[in-house]
This record gives sequence, structure tokens and C-alpha cells, in this order.
Amino acid sequence: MISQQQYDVAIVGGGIMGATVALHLAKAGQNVVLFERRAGLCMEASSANTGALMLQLIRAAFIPFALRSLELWESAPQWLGYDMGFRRNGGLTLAFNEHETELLTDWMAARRKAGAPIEIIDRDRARALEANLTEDFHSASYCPLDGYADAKRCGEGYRRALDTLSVHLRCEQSVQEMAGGDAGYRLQSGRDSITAKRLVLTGGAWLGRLLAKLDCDIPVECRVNQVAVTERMDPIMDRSICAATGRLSLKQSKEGTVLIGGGWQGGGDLDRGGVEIIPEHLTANLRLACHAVPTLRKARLLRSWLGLEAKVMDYMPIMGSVPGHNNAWVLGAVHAGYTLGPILGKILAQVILDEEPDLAIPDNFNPARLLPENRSRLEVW
Amino acid sequence: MAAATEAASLGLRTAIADMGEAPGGQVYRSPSPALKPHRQAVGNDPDWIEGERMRMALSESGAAIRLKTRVWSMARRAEGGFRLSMHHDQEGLSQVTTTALVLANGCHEKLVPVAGWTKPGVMGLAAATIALKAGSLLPGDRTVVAGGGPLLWAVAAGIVKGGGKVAALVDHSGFGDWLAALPVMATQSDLLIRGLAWHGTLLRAGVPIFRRHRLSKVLGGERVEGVEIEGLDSKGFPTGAHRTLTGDALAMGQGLVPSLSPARLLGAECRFSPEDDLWIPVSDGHTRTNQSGLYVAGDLGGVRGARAAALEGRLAALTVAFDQGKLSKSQFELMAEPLRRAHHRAAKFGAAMARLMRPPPPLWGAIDQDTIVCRCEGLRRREIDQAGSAGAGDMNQLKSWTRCGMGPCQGRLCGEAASALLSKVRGVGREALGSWTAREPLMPLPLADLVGEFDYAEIPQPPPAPA
Repeated sequence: MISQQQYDVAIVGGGIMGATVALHLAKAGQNVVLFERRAGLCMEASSANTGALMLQLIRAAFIPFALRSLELWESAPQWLGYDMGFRRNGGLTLAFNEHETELLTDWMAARRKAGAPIEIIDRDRARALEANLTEDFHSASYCPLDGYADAKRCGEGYRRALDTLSVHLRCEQSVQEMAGGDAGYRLQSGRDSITAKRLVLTGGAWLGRLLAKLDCDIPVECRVNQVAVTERMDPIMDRSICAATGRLSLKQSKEGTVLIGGGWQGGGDLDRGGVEIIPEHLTANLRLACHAVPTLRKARLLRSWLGLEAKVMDYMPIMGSVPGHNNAWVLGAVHAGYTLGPILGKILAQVILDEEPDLAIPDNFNPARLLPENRSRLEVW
Repeated sequence: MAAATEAASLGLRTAIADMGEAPGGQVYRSPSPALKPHRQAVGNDPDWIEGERMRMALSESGAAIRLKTRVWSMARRAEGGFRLSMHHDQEGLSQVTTTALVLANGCHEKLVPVAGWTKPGVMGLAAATIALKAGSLLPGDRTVVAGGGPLLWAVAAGIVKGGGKVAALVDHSGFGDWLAALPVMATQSDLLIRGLAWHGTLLRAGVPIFRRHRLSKVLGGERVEGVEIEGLDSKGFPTGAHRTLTGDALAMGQGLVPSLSPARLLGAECRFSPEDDLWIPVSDGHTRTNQSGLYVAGDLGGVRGARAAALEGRLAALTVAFDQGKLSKSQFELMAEPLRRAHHRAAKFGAAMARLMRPPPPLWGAIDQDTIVCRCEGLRRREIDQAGSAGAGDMNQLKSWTRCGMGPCQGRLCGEAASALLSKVRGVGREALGSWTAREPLMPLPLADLVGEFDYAEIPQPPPAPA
């Protein structure tokens, strides 16, 4: 039973990037199909995080995008039609020794210069902002615009919006074959064969494989992010907290559960997905959390989960036309994908529709930079 | 216990881990060492006698016995075998690697939510059993015992023998259902005699017995003061004939559910058994799962009772030994065959008991809209029905939308009810709804236990991402 269907746009990958692009294209009247290998949307990197929306965690170069994106997170009920649980509770970054204070001072200065209202604050102010903060920190910074949303609601919110806009959601369907060019694209997924005038690749950690199907050699690494959550507790934390080392993301939700993350790695791969936590990494993450807020030692850990995230060699997003294609685009490997998803997805949709984008796509997001002939010029991390 | 004893006797380097203070699980639960005159309390209890025999054999077997130990994380190792992360009450964290893993972690209680069941004074039949066996404690002064299966009668008899009062015994099965099971029950005559003895104990104590009745409401203000029960027809449908009973405690339970999280975590294939109305691991008749090196034994593989469990435990040990080359094919077949036959006979008995434990399907539909289903998150049936109507098409979506199953019990108390109710509202079988993804930790663990004492400088933080 092969069903032949024709679409204006086929999107491969239903995380926050793909879902946001789908939303804006559908709103503009495009006939959209979205393929997602998991049973629902936003089940990998888009929900394997603590929901942090912190300018203090964003690279200086992305601050202008982040400022716009945070506005979109806050106004989600208007453009998405769904409350994503956004809460602006202010963010604290902690440095625990002299070296970290140097990092903190330099990096926050760069972010401030880019437009983020981040200040280095004194110890008294930090402890006034967060009553249960450890005494054992060296310095801290604060940003009143920082907050978080409920990462577990992301998939549900987009699913409802896309359903309302009649986007065809094909969940539990990977795309095995893709081919085409200016005349359009043909995609094979199981027994389904569809054609689309345009193609958007938003497959996260799977982008390397997807791009290879279009003869593009762009290496994309797979990271396996680990997150954990405690049982509900009485209120013990007010702010969103992170660490200068970038290895801690911590907050208490309105239900009272405490979410603990920081990009610590679990075990898994592109074929099996995220399959196991690495106990040493979980312990390290929890130790950081308890170091920052010692009261957390009383909490019981309830659950951990995993999600795959894309990373490319220079730690910059890939965003723009697929090299060698005029009607195919790619967006991913953003590193702060959850935070920037709403704005980057919107911008890419604008570019696809030939509209003036909210912000121009920087040259250094260009996917072509990662082609073999161009790689030597990259700053590799 | 049987698996570890047998494995050690076959020359395999064996360890057994259990959360309890002593081996024995539920059926062979040992009285708490804190109780001094426990010998008097258990007296000639056959379960205690058998349990002691098995504990003795285990302690002499040479297997390493790790008690008060929680296995909270497990994974397959790239080089083969498994890594288990454990926490011991006093000694803290440790890790163990093993070539073969036998999961024998049994079941938890199946409960049909009823209006008022969250009042103080309500406990499960299994909890009541633990209180009686380990603590010589009675649930209350006048306890109503309700549900189905042999455990119902064991608890009621246990209360009477312990000097307590049973306000009433309420069984969702009819006399005819028990009669129909008589031929199978007769194959394990000692168990049949024990069951008849329980019955006799209750009759002599003048305990009112209500067959083919369900709990329809738990009554009382601050705590249990009584219950309302309702008659059921021969198909299990409520008849509308109610009566009120007084009592200050309620022990209820409608069956047992294999605790599949550890098996699922390791990727063991599970299937839905419509006969049992349960998800069970797929095994090959010799306890092997579809994961190499992973075996399941006992009630975890399907509720078939303690006798079958012990036989299956021994079978698992033999299979492990054969798979590791310690037994030849002919030795294995010679030793395994009688075990398989004995297990088959014992399992038939267990299956008949499981059928009696199982709540008649109409009981799920009879749950009031206002009744709390997910106790941890305070979700009522109404909210589950609404989510299902609005499009939540499987268990994981239900969880994501409503938080059902996200609390400390991680779905142990509400999972069966949530699945049965979602199945009704979606008009699909329970199998189509799938099940909740198994994750770590396998049980809630205090952060203090996981982090221990540490220096900040010890924390192995990778270099930060670029600015």
C-alpha cells in the first residue's frame, strides 16, 4: 500500500527546529508534511534539558537571537496557541573558584556587550536572591531576563499547533531515501513515497546521515544528554541556576520538582537512541547541584532521561541552504537549540518564503563551511 | 533464593542482591529481627518453615548475599555482560559486573481505585501481609478485607490467627469460580488444604463473607470508618445492590503485576498477555529473554505462585550454567526436564489462582469520575478520560499530558488503572497503548546517598563549551 502524496514542503525531523519551521510555513499557507522517527515531537534534545532559557548560557554571538527568542517563549500562547510554561524567575551563574571567576567575568562581559543585561553581583546580593544558596561559592552573576519553560510540554504544544494547521505529522517514520533538486524531492519512508517541492532537514543528531543522502559530506557528532528530576519538594529554590563551567543547570519547577542537568553525557547512538545513563556522570551532575544548593541533599531522585543532540566541529549552528541545492535547507546543531528554536525556526521559514527575516543569518552559520574543502579554515573545539 | 543456591552449587560464581533485611521476598518474608518472640508468632506457618529452609540452603551455598541493597541502575556492557549500580543502606554505592543476570524481582500489587481509597487506614493486601509476617502487626481493630484470590483469604485468616477482627471478607469471585478451580487446586493438595484451613478459620470466627461483590466506596471522615460494597453479576457487572459495612481499616488488592522496569530497562522484549491482562517478559521456556545473558524467573515472568517460582529459579541457574559451558547439552537436558515438568504443574495451580485474583474487567469501567487514580499526582479518572478524548493515544502521551505516573511511585500504583481506563476511552486494546518507558533510578534514591561526601575539585568536569 504505497501512498503517493505531493507536498509543498517536506520536513525531516520533528524536534523544536523542525516543528517551528513547519508551523510558520503552514501559517503561510504551505502544504507541509513532517517526518519524525520517534512516537512524538520534541523527544530528543528538545526535551532532554531542564528547560533553561538563560542568556547567561548563550554564546555572545547568539545573544541578539536569544533576546528575540525569549520574547517568543514568553508570547507562545499567542503565536503557538499553547502555554509552554514560561517563567521569568531570574538567573544566577555561580563560579566556585578563582579560575571560574575569571571565566565568568570575561564571558559575561562579552554577553553584556552583545546586549544581555547580566551583572556580576556581590555575595550578599546572591544570597538575597537565592536563600538556600551555598556559602561555598566564589562569585556570581545575575540576569533578570533569565528563566525557563517546561521542556516536557514542548512536544505537546507543537503537536496541537501543527494539528490545527493541518500539517501532516508522520511520527514513528524515519526517512530512508531522499533524492532530488530544483525540480523537487522524492522521499521514501517505509512504504510511503512522497514528493515535495522543497525540503527542510531538521534531524538533529541524524543530520550527518540525512545530508549524506543528498551527497553532502558534513560530519555531525551525536551527543547523548542526560537530565534528572527529583520528587516534588516544598519550595527551596527561587531562581534558575547555572555554573560558570557550564556543567550545571538547575531549577525548581512550579510543581516543586527540581530539574538537574548540564549537558552531562549518557550512553547511546543514532541507531538505538539514548539507552543508558552513565552513573559516574549522573553522580557528578548531582554533586554540582548539591554543591550549589546543599538543601538538595534531602531530595530523592526520581527519574533520569536521555536525548540525542547534534554537535559540529566548530560548535556553531548549521543554518541555510543545503550546499548544492536551491530548494533544500538545513537547521541544527545549535547547542542552545531549545532556547533559540523559536527564533531560528521562524527565521529559516522566512528565508524559505523569501520574506525579510527578523534577523539575518550570519555567514558563519553557513553549512558549506563544514564541507571537506572548507574545513581547514574552521576554529575547531 | 532457589536460583542463587542452585547456581552456586553448579560452580558458578554467584551473587544475590535484595532490598530486604533478609532473603525471602514476599511469600517467604522473614519476621523482622527487631521482633524477639517471632518464633511464637510464626509457629508452624508453612511459609516460614519453607522460607527458613531456603535461607539456610542459600547461606550454605557459597553465593555472595547482598542484603539491604538497591540495584538502582543497570546497563549492558560493550564487552558483554552487565554493569549493576547498587546502593547499600550503610555501605553506600558500589558497582558490580556480571556475565549473566537473573531477574527475579517479582510483582507489585494491582489495585482498582475506589472512591475514598486515599483515606488513612487503607492498605494493600501485600502491605497487610508484610505487616503480619514481618511486624506481627494488625491493619486495625476491625479490618475489612477485599479483593480476590488466595491472598485475600490468607490475609483475613492471618488477622484472625493474630488475634484481630475481620469485619468482613469481600471477594470479587463467586463460589462457582473457586469450585471451577478445584481440580487444579487438588494437584497441589497441601496448598488446597491450607486454603481450606483459612476458610475454616474465618467460618469459626464468624466472619461475614461476601462473594461476587466489589468495593464501591470507602466511608469515613479523617480515616476509614467503613466501606460500601456492591454485588456483581456472573459477568462481573455491578448490580446496584449496595450494603454498608463498618470497620476501621481496609486491606484491599485485586491481583499482582510483574515489576517489569528492570527487564525493560535492559531491553527485554515484553508482550501483552490477554489471558492474564498483563504485560509479561517474553521467555523461551528455559527462562532466557531475547537479551543474551538476561534471564527471568518467578512471578516476574507471569504470576504463577511461589512453588513455580522456586522451580523456575533452579531452571534459570541450570540454563545459565549450560549457556556458560559448565554443563553439556545432555547434562542440561537431563537436569532441566524434570524441573520444567514440575514447573508446568505448579504453574497451572498458580495460573488458576491468578485468574481468581484478577478483577472482573467491568470493575475498571465502574470507577467514579471523581475517584483519584494517580495518587502521587492527585489525578482523577475524569482527567485521564479527558486526556484520552483529547487525543492522548498511548501511555507515554497520557503521562506527558497529565503527569500520570510521574510521582514517587513512578506508576506502580496507577499504571494498571491508567491503562485500563485509557483503553476504554480510546476504544483500543491495552496492548496498543504500549507502556511507560523504563528509566533509572529503578527506585527513588536520596541525593545524599548518590553524592556522598565529596570535594568540589574532585568533580570531573569536562572543559566548558566555547564562549
